[in-house]
Amino acid sequence: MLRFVVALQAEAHPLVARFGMAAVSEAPFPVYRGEEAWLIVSGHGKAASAAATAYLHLIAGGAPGRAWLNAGLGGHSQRKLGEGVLAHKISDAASGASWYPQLVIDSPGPTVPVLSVERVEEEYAPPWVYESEAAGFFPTACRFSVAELVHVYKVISDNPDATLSRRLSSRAVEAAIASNLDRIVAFARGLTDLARELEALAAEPPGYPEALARWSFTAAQQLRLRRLLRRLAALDPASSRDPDYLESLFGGARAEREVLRALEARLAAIPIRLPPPGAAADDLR
Amino acid sequence: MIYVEEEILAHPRTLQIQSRFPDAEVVPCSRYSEIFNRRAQHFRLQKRRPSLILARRHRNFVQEAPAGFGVKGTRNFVFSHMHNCIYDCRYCFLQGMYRSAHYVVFINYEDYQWAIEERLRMLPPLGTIAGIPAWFFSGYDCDSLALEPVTRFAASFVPFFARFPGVLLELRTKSTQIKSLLDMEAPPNVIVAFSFTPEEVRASVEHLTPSVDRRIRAMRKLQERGWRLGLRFDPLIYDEGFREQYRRLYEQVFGAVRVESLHSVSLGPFQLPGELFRNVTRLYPESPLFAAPLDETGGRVGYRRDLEEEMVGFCREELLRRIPPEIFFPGLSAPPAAQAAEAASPIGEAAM
Repeated sequence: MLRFVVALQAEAHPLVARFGMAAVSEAPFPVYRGEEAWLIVSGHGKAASAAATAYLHLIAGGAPGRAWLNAGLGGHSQRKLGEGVLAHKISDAASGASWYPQLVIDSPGPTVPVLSVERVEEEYAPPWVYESEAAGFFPTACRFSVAELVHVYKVISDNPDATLSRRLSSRAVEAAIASNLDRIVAFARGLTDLARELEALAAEPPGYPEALARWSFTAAQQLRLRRLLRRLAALDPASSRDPDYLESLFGGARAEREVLRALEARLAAIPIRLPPPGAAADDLR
Repeated sequence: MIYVEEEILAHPRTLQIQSRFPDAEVVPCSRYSEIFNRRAQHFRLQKRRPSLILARRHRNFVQEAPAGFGVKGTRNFVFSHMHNCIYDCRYCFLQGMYRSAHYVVFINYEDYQWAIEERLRMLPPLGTIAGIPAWFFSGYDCDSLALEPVTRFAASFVPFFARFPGVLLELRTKSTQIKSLLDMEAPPNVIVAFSFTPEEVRASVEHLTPSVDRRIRAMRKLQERGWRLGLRFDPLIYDEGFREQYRRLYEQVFGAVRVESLHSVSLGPFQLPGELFRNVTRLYPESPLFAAPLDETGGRVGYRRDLEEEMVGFCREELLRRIPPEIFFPGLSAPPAAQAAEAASPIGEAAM
């Protein structure tokens, strides 16, 4: 499931509505949850954003490898108000540290370097987009996921002609996010698909939980069982997902060792045939 | 997206490479290690859309080849102008080596060449030991030619090595990017070594590589222009039809490539250091390649001994029916365990 981190309640509203999220808690941070996504409102600044990110990770169950998106507002010297941009570099103005989100799907907009500052700036030096949360959000979220799944999307709210954010009403903030909502949602769902890919890689092989529930394998036997079932899934993917096939393979086994022997015998009998290109066996993509 | 180290933003080679990608976003960075191989990166996800990183290398330009690799009785050196490869060969140790799939190109070729000259100066006499040439191998952390239109690596290093007839340079490749080679005279001390697996294996596990036919066509063109060629049947990959597959491969290759054009031929079984094997199987658990009967012996994972011996014996016999034993160099297909360890060191260098 997706995890959104936003600074302001007004930034949250369009996302909460689109994903049908309901409030889960009010303190220490407002948290919302829907079928597809979690969202937390961090408040202003990188420390708050880092704390909220860690809090959301824990309250959402602590599972690693999820898709994370920080959506918010930013200022730029030339870009048009309302334009949505994605960070390809995040720098912390205070420490000078930099991070590089890794983009492996289509970007929802131009990519830019983002500079996280402590206070609102009066002038924007190109090429940076100025904001206050990304340098807290990104490195924290990367502790719980991978850089390919953690991104920062900013809507330009300030430029030299209009410093709107300081006098933006909640309604205007909402409107700025809402006008980019389709792009944000499509991108976030693309990240979720990637996260599912990672989840599939880490999944136990078919038959493993069932075998554990039925027999009492030692720790070493569990490792061997997992390896054997993985090999079976790779060499004979269709059969390995068929409960009847697994039942016929080791259903009659009376002891754990017999299960392992039955699997080894089956594996030894499967001819090694490398699949043709595009075959499902080597194609989770 | 192209990441470029700030100190080389204005380097002519940086600008030349960038000019090949006029629409790419250029992202400056302090050191390539800010991006490459960081924690919390996922090789398999990144391989969907790798970026180019242009960097300057500061040391370890050229290294002694790992023990067991190269030709006995000579000095063997390896060097890499790149980390990672544009191809996606499931068996390759690079799959399990780095957390990043980006291509790092070190653009300071002149520093490499200076370091190679230094090495040569230390060999008595220039580049030879008792009349036996020293070998320099390119193409272990990368494919030597696959990015040639972008990097112009061979265009720079082949003329450089031509100045030192006492040593040999091997360019190892699966690529057909040979234009820059065809544009120059073939120096007698440069070997273009092509790696092959049978077409069925290539199509299944060597994603994005040119077909066997295309590689053979590239070899023929080089042969016609007088280039000395190498054949690397490495790694040998098992399939129940391996005998037919390899026999057919040898017929294809030796039907097109004249033995007189060959400098050397080698073969070697599939092997990976245990740690890299575990990394790569975590990345691709569904690959039947890793579900074959494999054993771990002495820290290396390879085919079960009997299977390996059967494959090596068969392929060796088939090869030696087609080539004289003098050009058969098994040591040129040594397993990559030590190479992997060597290749890992530049990351440490970069982090300093």
